[in-house]
Amino acid sequence: MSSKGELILGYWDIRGFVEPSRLLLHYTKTPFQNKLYRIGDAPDYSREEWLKEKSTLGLDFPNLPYLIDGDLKLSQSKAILCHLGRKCNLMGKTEHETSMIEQLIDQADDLRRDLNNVCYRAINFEAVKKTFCETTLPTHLKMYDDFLTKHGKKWLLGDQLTAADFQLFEYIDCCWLLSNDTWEEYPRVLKYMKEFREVPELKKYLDGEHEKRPINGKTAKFGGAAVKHEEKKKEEKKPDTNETEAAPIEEKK
Amino acid sequence: MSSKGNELILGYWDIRGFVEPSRLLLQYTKTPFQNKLYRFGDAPDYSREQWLKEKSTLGLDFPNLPYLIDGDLKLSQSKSILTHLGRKCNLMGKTEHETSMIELLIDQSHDLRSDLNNVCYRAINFEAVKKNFCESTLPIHLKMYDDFLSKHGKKWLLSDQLTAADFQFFEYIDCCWVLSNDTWEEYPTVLKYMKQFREIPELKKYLEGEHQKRPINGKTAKFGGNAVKHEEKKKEEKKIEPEETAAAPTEQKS
Repeated sequence: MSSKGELILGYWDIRGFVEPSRLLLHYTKTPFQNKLYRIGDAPDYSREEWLKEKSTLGLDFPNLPYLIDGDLKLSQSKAILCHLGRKCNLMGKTEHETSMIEQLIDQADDLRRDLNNVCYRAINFEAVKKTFCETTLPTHLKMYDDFLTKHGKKWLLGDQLTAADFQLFEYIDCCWLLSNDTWEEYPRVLKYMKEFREVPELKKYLDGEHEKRPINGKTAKFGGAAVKHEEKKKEEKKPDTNETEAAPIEEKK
Repeated sequence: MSSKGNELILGYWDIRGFVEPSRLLLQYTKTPFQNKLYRFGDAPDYSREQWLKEKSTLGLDFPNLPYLIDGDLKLSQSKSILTHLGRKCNLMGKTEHETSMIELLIDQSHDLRSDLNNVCYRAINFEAVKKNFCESTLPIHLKMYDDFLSKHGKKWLLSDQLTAADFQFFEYIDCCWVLSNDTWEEYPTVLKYMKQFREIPELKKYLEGEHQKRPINGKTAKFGGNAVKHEEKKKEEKKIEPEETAAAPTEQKS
């Protein structure tokens, strides 16, 4: 598969670990082929659509997501995001900024993995979700709320978006969907999320295709079907019930 | 804590863990740095107090181990620390293409080290989990790397000069070597790479000295909580060292 000067971003038809890159590409209006692989239905959840192509793409480390950019063929969601960030000048204006961006990308990735460990949890989901929402997530949210307050910028590192913002917004938003809480203790995070949703270049995508795509695969206990972003009211939301088979964090076959 | 003048401070547990690639890079480039070490207490508590009492005093935005203090810049996250040092020392590639490949390789081998951790800290069923790792997971990684090295045909991963990716890859493959009883003869390019890395003049002394004396994992690990000397493999079973069995997180999170 070669790109005719066009980027090809390949992933499952979910948000998962590639949505930050999709957001960046939409924001910068960078043309790309959004190559989607679908997981089959229950009970097999066949990965055949991906598996039949996996070894034909010339990837050194065949996996999802992948990015093909001319001769360059990348795996690993973080490497893909940083590559696109550099390509679109969103990786900072100074050395200091670049390193902070990378740190924030890694930090938010940890959160998304913690979330995944909850969402794909077959056994004891409610208890694991409770621990995550009451302990793990508040620890992360407080750090981000403090960070945003301390640095006092519109976005994470300045009044211009950087690659780190696409990562943080998406992964915090996924947590928002799982959590029943209003997060009123984290006003700076709430403001950040609200403002991100109003970025003109992204509004249409966020309200449309982005929201219609599930955050997780079909085998997830939570998030395997699209969940609409909503303002929280102070009442219990019913969790989605989904099939219970665990899935790896990134496709590893 | 401030660095005196321009000296870097690299803080981590007194293990190899996720920071040894950065230590290797710093040793190789002869970059002065303070190797700030935190020690676990002994059994049964394995107290983290030495770290916990300092954790919130360092001005880190995301207090965790490892951390790097470089003047005004304070970083957490082992990969970000490594790429920061890589940029500082001009080891992040000469082209955009190379830089992205380096980042891919850093991420890819980080996954391997995380998989290894899941085995080594495994309290229950360690032998079975180890067997599965050594017979299924690890060979997949090794084959990809062996193919990669063969295909690109360079001395190191991406060129005849070392890049930040090499320090990460060597260290993490070496940790797998230490766990695995196999000779890896099916992966000759990987073996050649490892042999050559151990002969790098700027690193030889460190690798045979301090590096090898430091355990790869924490005291609570089932495997690797004590230093294990790098050895040539013979085709016989090595005895596994028994370790304490409490689980520990992948990167320190408390």
